[in-house]
Amino acid sequence: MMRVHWTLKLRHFHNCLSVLILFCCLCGCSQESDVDDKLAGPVARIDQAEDGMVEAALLEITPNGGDDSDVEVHATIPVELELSESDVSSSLLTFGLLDEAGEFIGAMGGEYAVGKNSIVFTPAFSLVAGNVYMAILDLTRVGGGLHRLEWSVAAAAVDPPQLEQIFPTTGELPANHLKFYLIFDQPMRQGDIFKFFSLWCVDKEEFVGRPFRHTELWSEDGKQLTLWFHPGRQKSGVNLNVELGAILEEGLEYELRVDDQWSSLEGAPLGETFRKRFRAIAKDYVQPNPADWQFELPHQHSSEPLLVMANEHLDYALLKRGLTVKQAGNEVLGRIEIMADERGMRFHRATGQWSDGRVELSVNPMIEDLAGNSPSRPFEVDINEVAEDNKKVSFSFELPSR
Amino acid sequence: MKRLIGICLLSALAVTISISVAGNSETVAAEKKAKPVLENIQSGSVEFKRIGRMSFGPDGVLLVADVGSASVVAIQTGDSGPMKKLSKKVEDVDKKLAALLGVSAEDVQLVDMAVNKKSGTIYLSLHRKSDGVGAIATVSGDGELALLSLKKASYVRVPLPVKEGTVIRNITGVEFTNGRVLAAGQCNEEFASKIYSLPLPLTHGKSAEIYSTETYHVAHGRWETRAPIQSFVPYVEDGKNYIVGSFSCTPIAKFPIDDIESGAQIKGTSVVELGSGNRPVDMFTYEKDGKQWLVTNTDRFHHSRRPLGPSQYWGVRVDMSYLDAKDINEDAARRDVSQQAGPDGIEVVESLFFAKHVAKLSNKEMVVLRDDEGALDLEIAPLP
Repeated sequence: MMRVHWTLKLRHFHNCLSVLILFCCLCGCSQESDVDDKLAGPVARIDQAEDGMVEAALLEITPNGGDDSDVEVHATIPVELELSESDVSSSLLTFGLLDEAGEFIGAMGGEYAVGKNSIVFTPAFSLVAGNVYMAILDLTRVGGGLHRLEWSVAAAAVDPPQLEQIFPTTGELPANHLKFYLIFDQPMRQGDIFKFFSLWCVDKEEFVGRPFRHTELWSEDGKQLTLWFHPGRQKSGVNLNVELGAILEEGLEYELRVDDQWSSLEGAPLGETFRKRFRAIAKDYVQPNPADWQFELPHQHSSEPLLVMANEHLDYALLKRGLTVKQAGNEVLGRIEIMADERGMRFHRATGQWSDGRVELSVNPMIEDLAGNSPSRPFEVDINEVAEDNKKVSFSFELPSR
Repeated sequence: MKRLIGICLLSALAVTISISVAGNSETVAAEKKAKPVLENIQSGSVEFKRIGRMSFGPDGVLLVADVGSASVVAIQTGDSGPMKKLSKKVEDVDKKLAALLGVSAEDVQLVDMAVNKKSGTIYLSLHRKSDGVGAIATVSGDGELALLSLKKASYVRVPLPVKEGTVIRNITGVEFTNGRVLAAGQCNEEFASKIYSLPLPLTHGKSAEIYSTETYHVAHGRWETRAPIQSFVPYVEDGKNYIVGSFSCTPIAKFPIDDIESGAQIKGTSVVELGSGNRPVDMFTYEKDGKQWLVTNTDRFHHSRRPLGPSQYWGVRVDMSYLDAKDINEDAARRDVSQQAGPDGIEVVESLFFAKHVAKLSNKEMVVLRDDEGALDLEIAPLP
């Protein structure tokens, strides 16, 4: 709902329009409700100056394209002032945000178009819903008055965001666990977000100091956040780990908390604090080894899914690109469904059926367990020892017949 | 009355706040100069999915990382001087920037700062939290704030290449160096750093000639990590090109970047260790009395637990002869975290306390964006 407040200090009658508007106000005409009800457009409120004098409405704010957050500010310079072209400049017109106390915080940036008797200002950015802005036409330096016009952008009714899922879903995490994935149903507000996260040690009844790496890693749609424990504290022998200790202690229970004040991009807060409880178990330094996994193959001439079942919990995001499938040298297009507790993948071919013969499977060597170990390398590498132990990631199977 | 006076003053200030658009003649001149740097230049609106780190290059070209689209944008600013450095401290710059963007100070994230050494103009990349819109503001020598026009810009955008299925979600730096642009980035899921080399001229939409490397970082005695580079500077030694990168917690290492092929893994040489609990922010080098120094400022995130000085924001300068280190250098120098200086050639810089961002202006001065009890001030400070 668009709503405009006219707050004009009027000193002189200049035209019939201003007289009409003033008349409506003095007569108690509910111009506001008229417009709200009939036009759903701007409404006017005129504040009469103390001296009782009024002058023409010199300021007008108009939506630019029907949206009240994109506007143009039009200022009319009275011809009676007899200003030269050089007297009319952008400095006469200012537009900006009012703070919660109603104070003007400063001028917005934008583009000015200056004519002989007019100035048009277009803000460089959309106005933010729920805020009040003000246009100021200051003609006091050129023999005129000071004119102000408020513009309110109605707060849109938006649904509170939902934290749909936190990965890993398991309730037991290795004490050298690295990262969480938070999945929301709508884009969240980015920037300075880490004040909204905390880690509560249930057993010690205290918060863990500074556990998170303060780097925002967002998906392109703004719905998925990768939240890292600080790796410097999760790696053995790294200075932060030595000096401050690891974040998690084996055997203790913890709560990852997401504060209820964090809001969606549209400005709606979560509304309730989200808690994920888990217990820290023994650290994991062992590389995932796909040769130890189970593969459940589809039958020939079927469209059954192909199952890859790991013997441990794996990284949610990396699982989504964890497998490549070929038959007769050609890649089989399909989608990967992540199995419960992130313990494997279910590959669904996009179209058609499996043919006779063999299927070639390639597990992504970068796929990681919860502690960052992958088939290609452990998360922590001792430079004094032999280079990384690359695990087998390519497999070939004969598909069973029915 | 107070409100009225405030309005009048701000109204008067409005003359200083407008979009800075280079005039046609300046743009044409800038394009002529920038030809060796940019190619297939686009004209029009530049939008950032998530604006990031910046640096200033030759010919008035401003490099800006667009983290959201995993690309590097090079904007012709037409800003070629003359030098007019900031003449006085600008107080509460965060509030003034918020006003410029039409939101409250809490609704703006100041992402990075860069300085054009030819003009002294300061560039600030800004993120409007309420809608995710990116903006770039400038601060002129007399302290006036303005918006860099992104609607009528001359620019090129170069996407960073990724391996199939991977996505870059963080770009921690972007810098001009000999004949190319370097960028450092991180994938969303993998705790590993990528370095990108973009050959000049930067060509809009062209990324085929860009190669990426995965870096290994050697530090902390026994253990090798794969930490992402947080901040870096290009470095040339004996005609060979290196990246000097700073990592969380805060080892500094150098990586050779000549003669590496796409997809190669390069191992770094540890240079110095500045101590744990710090997140490096900016880096630059300067010369004084024939000696080269590396300056870096950091955010000490364990300040409350183990304070180093009066602020969580502090900085250090390092004698660049430390960069002569070879191979893995497991014996890299370590700063004594309990001392203001030492070992020799590693010194805490007093003027970098409270500095949230810092950029080199010359071999004598730097621009400092300083925390002032929650507000931000912008000022020039002498280099030690």
